[in-house]
Parts: sequence; structure tokens; C-alpha cells
Amino acid sequence: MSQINQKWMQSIIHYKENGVLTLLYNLLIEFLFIGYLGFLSLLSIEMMLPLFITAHISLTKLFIILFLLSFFTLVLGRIVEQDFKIRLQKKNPLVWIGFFFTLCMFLLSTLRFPLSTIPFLLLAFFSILWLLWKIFFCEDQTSF
Amino acid sequence: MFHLPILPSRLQTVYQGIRILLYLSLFIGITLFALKLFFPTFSFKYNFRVSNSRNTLSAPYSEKRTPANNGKIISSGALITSASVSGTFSSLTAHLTLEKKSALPENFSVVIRRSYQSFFLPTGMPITSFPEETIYKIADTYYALKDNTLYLFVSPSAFLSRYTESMAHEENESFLTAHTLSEEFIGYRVGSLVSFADGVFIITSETDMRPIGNAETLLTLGYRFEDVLPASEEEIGIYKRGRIILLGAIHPDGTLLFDQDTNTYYLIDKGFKRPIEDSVYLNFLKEKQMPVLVSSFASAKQVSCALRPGLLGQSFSCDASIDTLTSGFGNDFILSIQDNDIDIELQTLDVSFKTKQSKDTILLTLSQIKQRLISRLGAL
Repeated sequence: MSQINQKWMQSIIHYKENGVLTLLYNLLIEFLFIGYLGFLSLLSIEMMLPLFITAHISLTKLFIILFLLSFFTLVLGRIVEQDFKIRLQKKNPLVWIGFFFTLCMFLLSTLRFPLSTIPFLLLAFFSILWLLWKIFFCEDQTSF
Repeated sequence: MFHLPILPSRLQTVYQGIRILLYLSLFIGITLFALKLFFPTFSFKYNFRVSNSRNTLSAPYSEKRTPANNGKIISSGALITSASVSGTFSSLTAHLTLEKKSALPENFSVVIRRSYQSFFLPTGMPITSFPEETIYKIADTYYALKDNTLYLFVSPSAFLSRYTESMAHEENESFLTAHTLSEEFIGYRVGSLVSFADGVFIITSETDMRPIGNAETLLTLGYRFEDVLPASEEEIGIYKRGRIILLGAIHPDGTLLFDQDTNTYYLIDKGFKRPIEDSVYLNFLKEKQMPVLVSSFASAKQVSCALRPGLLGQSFSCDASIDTLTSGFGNDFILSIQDNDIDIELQTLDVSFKTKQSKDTILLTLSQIKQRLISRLGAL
């Protein structure tokens, strides 16, 4: 067993040094970016037109695949010693488009709730989002 | 937005090459998915070993209208089932597997026709007169007299859905004391469409009503919203609520059909379509409800394909072009497996409808999307 582990570690070091793991890491990041963007687009369409997307493709399975790949990418990032950083630039219009899009989708999903509960739901939603952002993407994170 | 590590120069070409492949695969994937969305294939199946809700083809029956859930087809017999799907289709693929113990036929085929399931019902005895009943009107309330017992109509609207005002004999209050008053109420004419709260219901019998699943189902079944009568809680309260009517349901009793090719009106009644020969009754029914339009020429059109053995011994399949089957007179496809030269036993049956790839289909899909968006945003 220890021999297998040793061979395994040697292979990882070899591919890390010749850049293959970094190549794989870069490709996975790009794939995940497109994947999550695609998932959000499909989810938005599904919210407006229920069953239009899910009649043909399972969004749950897609999300599970993306989630598992994200963890694999995180592990790979540790191996190639890359910390994934997203820098939100307030001047970038994409950031504001993303923010307002998220807000619209959230409001659309809460319109059937009593008006008095919507502020609490809004607060809870964005608090959780901020917390997850801090956990996964903050630059000063010290441990996973 | 995010910064990726820099690769060694010898891997840059490989990286760019794989990126191009990634985006190309993405483009192909999106195109194929869009084709699937705009030109969907609808699949239906029946497993003869397991009779449950996963079977999406209707319960099969023989040419003698006896149940055929066991999948057995005698030679010179037929197994008939149906699938309901809305749209314009180019082709149908039928795939079936026989039981291991079943003999393998040399020839057998699938015959496909399209109309409403109710129009394929056998023709029954013609209706030659207005349904008779002795009706009394006592102080704006209507009663029917049967076997010396008076039955109260739940409302004047319910009475008028069955009879004309002139059919009721005026009587005074003392008439009530001369007869027994039943606790049962008489509701709307069977086959009437009524609405209450957010729902539309069809009266399927004297004691039962079934809710219609959605607006699309109501329109697809050939009904009109203009024929829906608003009902009160009291009027609805006398009925038991049955299963939801979805696409694929057969028209219930009391539904009026009009065959535009033979100018014949039919009333669905206990498993038969009965031609209406009494003009007074017919005119009365036409005032209450627009008939569902059918066409005997369209329903007589059929397409067939010979089932050919597949790679695996007990499986057979065939493709049939169905774009000649006229749409507009029903979305029920009746499939008949027949012409087998020996007795056989089916295990599974799978049927797929491929949507016609045309500009009209895209426009129809876009129009449906628009309608759904309007109703979704309207519901908010």
C-alpha cells in the first residue's frame, strides 16, 4: 500500500513539474466558469418557464457534477499551489449585471410570500451568500 | 475577473488547442440542446409485466374492446393503445420486445391513426328524442318527479342546463305536500363545464365532477372557455371530485362532437358515441355548448409500418412517417399492433414521436413560450 502511495505521489510530482496539472487546473477553472454560467442561465429559464428545461435535462445532476468538479479543482489547486482568487471590480459592468440579475431572480421567487416576510428573506439570502463568498473566495482565508 | 497561473510556453499551444475544442464542444452542445427544446421527441412506453403509473401509453385493449394488459395478441387480432401529444410530427418510431417464451412472427405491423379517443368509440343507438322528465316549478324552484318522489334542482342554472323554461309546469306550494321530497339534488347536465374559485370542472356523472388540469388541456380537448358556466359553492358541493383531467383523457359522457365531413352530431354516452337525430334536442345542446370538432376523413387516414426484427432476437421496430395524419381534429394517436401471423405476447412497447423540423414548429413553440410567460407573470 505504501509503495502504491509512493508511486502515486511520484506521478503527481512529475506532472506538476512538467506543467500538466497546471494545464488541467486552468482548463477546469474555465470549464467550471462556463458550467456555472450555463447552470444559472438554465435555472433562470426554468424559473420563468417551469419544466421547460427540466423536461429535457436534470438540473440537479448538472449541479452535482459541477459541485464535485469544483472540489476536485480545489484539491488540484492545492497541489499546484494556486489559490483561486476572484477580484470583484466595482467598475466592471458584469459585476453589477450579475448583482441585479440575482436580485431580480430572488424577488421573482418571493413575490408570492407575504410582503412583511420579504425583507427577512432578502436579508437571510444575501447574508448566506456573503458568508459563502467569504469562505470560498476571500483572499485572507487561512484554512479551508 | 480571475487570474490563471501561467503555463510553460511548450504547453501554451496544447492549452489553446484544448480550449478551442472545449468551446467547439460547448457550441455543438448548445445547438443540440436548442434543437431538443424546439423540436422535442416525445416518448411513451408500456411494460406489460408491470401495470403502474410509469406506463405512459393508455391501457391497451383488443379489437373486441377487452383489456389486453397481458400483452397477448392472437393471430388475426390486434392490440390497441393510444398516446396523446400535441404538435406537428414528422415521424413515429415503434419499438417492442416480445416475451422470451413468445413465438417470433414473420409479419406484423403497427397502424397509426389520429383523432380524439372519443371519436374512435363505437357508434351507439341514435338519440331520437329530448330526454323526458316531468318537471315542476314551485316558487322559482325546480323539481323533477320520479316514482312519486320530487327531486330538487340545486339551482335554476342547473335546471336550465338540462331543460328549457317552458318544460316546467307551474304549481303551488301545496304540491310539495302531496309528494315525498328526496334529499338528493339534481345538478348540471352531464358533460357541462363549470367553474368555481380557480378551477374549471367537467360534470362527468350525476354525482361526480373532474377538474381540468390546465387551460392548455381544456383547449386541446376541443372545449371553449366561453362554454364554462360559473357555479356557486352550493352547486359544486353536491359532486364528488374525481381525478384531474390531463392531456390524454377521453371525453367524458355528455360531450357533444360534430363531424364536419358527415354533418353528424354525436353525444358521448357510456362508451358509445350516439348520433343525435332529434333536432329539438340538438338545437338545445348546441345553444349550451359548442361541439368538439372532429373529422371522419381525418380519423380514417392511417399510416402503417411493418415491424422488423432488431439485433436482439425478441425485439422489433419500425419507423413511420406521420406528417400526413391531419392535425386539428384531436391529439390522440391510436396505435394498433396487428396482422401477426401467429399468437404473440408482448413484454414492452416504446413509441417516440419526432417533431417536424420546420419554421412553423419554431413559431408554434415561441408562441407557446410567450403564452406561458404571460400566464406566469399574470399569476404573479
